[in-house]
Amino acid sequence: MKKAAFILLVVILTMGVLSACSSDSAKKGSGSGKDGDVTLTFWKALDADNEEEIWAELIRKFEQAHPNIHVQFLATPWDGWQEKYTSAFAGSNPPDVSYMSEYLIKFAHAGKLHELDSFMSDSEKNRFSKTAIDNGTVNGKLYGVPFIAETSLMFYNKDIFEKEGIAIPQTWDELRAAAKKATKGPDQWGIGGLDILNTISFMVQSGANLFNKEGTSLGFNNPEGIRGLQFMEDLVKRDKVAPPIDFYSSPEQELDAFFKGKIAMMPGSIAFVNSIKTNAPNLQYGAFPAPAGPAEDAGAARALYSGIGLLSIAKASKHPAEAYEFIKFVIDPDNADLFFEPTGFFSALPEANETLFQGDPVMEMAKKSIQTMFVYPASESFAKAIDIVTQMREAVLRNVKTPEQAIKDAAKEFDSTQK
Amino acid sequence: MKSRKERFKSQLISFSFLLPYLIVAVVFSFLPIAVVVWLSFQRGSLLDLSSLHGAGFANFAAVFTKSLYMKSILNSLFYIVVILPFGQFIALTLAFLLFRKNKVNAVFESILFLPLVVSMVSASIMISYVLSTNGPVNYLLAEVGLPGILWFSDPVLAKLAVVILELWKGSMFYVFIYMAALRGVPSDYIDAARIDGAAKWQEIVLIKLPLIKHIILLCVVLSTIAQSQMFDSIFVLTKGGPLRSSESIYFAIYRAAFLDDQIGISAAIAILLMLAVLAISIFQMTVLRSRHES
Repeated sequence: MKKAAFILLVVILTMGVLSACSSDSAKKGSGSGKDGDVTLTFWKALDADNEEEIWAELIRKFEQAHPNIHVQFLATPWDGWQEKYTSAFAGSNPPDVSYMSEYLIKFAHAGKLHELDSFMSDSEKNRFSKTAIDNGTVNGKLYGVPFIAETSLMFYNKDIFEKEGIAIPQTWDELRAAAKKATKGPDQWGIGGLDILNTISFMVQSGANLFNKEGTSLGFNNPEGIRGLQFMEDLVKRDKVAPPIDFYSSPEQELDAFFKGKIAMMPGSIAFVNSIKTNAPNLQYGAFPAPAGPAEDAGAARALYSGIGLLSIAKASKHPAEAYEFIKFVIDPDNADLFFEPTGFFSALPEANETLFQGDPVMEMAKKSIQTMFVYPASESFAKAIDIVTQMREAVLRNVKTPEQAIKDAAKEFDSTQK
Repeated sequence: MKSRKERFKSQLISFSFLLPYLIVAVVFSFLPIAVVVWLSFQRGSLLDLSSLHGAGFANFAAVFTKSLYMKSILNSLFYIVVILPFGQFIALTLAFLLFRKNKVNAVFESILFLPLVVSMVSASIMISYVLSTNGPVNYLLAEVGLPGILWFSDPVLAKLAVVILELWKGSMFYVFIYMAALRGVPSDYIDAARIDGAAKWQEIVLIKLPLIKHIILLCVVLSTIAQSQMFDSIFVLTKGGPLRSSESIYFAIYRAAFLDDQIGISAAIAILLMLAVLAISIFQMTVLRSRHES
């Protein structure tokens, strides 16, 4: 009798522990509910403050049109993006649909993404630009449907330009001259926002690139790269027309300085327009394409950060067809005003942009910049490269290394971690 | 006299009561450690575990030959060497000042307890504001005509900023352990010492400290482990900067796994860290305990 009670106790305790482990994993992730109902998970890092409500509305409309498909949206921060998605995809429970950027190639190479060629015919692919489709293609196969086309422009404060009689600069020399004129007193700067991506932009404008064509080594370990980094250093240290590295304690403070009219020019993503409209509705601002650097290629000479945001389906997804249905709905030009108009982005589908942002001169200019978009060569080591450029830029701005030395060390570090 | 079979049965019953815990421990603790040990001998990407292949001791060799990893290991040592003695000294001193129960001490006790209820991330954000370029510390310095300090631009100052945060937030925990220990010292010993004419310092050094020695040992070991695991404070306060100068060993683990995409090296650093903490703790225990017993 005692023995039976004891065995019963052990069994109950064991079951308790085991069920505590398993019930959790059963609930998570995608699964089919009753009678063909399908639940999809969709992860996206947010680019705009109001995005969560926008997705709620889009998903509501989608579920109305497809009553058997439910979409669970999860907003993931860009901070720690790599860690979160790597862990999710390395495990067995990745999101069915995820928003991918430069990291797509890494996930595609590792075999974690679903091939989309079976869903998308060539005529459908041809609706996109070649740049956009190439961006989602790895080893000749499509793994991401182009969704957002993000370009950048040089934003400027119209009041400062008018007051100092500055014309829109067209070349690096004119940019330096304009920045000199606009720099006044202890806290008004000619140019700001020379962050990591814009450090790369100067090197691109000089004729270098972030990677070589194959994406296997850094593309700025050359005289052009050094010239680009040198140009940024000169703006900060020799001309003193850009704030030194410790002048603002955070990037937000620097943005705030632009909103308050303390910075005359600032390169920024097109989403910056929305940010200006909310934070500084009275700011007199304009934008122009980046002044041309010495690069031979005309597109590269005026390149600022551009990227394609793509929608991918996980290889492990149990409902790829339904997931593609959702992607198709999201990129549909008829729904463009639901997402792009309120977030301030452009679609990677040119026809969707025709009716967007009409009458806004800055957005019209951005619309044109999509056609000459300059994107980095795809590389599995994008995160590593960004980390290395971060250190390189800081070493130069803190007087620890010359641009030449910093680039040499950067290339050495990058190559040492390549398999 | 019980038979062997019966003894075995009763032992089995006793162990069976441990079963629920053992299952949890095996699933969430022992198995992951075993996997990390296995990973540390592999080469490949975390994202594509099917591509892993054996690498022998190459990962461990890489840890010691790459300056990037070595730098963060040395930084972690720096944090332990600085924070451990200062933190314990401050905690002991405060405990001696506050262990008597009265109304004034109760107020101080509550104030000292505050950092403990704040999460490390909030505490880091607070300190990063206090020490920022336009923060209160530099404002006070400017008021008395001194130049401001750029805490996060200098490799040494950035490490000190982390030390300040860890002392303020981390060491207060030990104040309360020491206070509890001091309150547990029987008053008979103190009375006897006083009758024998012991001075105040003799009372502390010869009576109280030896009596709470095992608690000090505990705190030293706990603090060593805590300091070797520092990550969140540094990540929020300095992001490891400037120029990676304040990165702890956890940054190397993170960097190897996610940026260099070499899960094997990452696992190797984690194993080395575990062994090092184990070795340091055992060393501390033997040294402090043997003195206690002699």
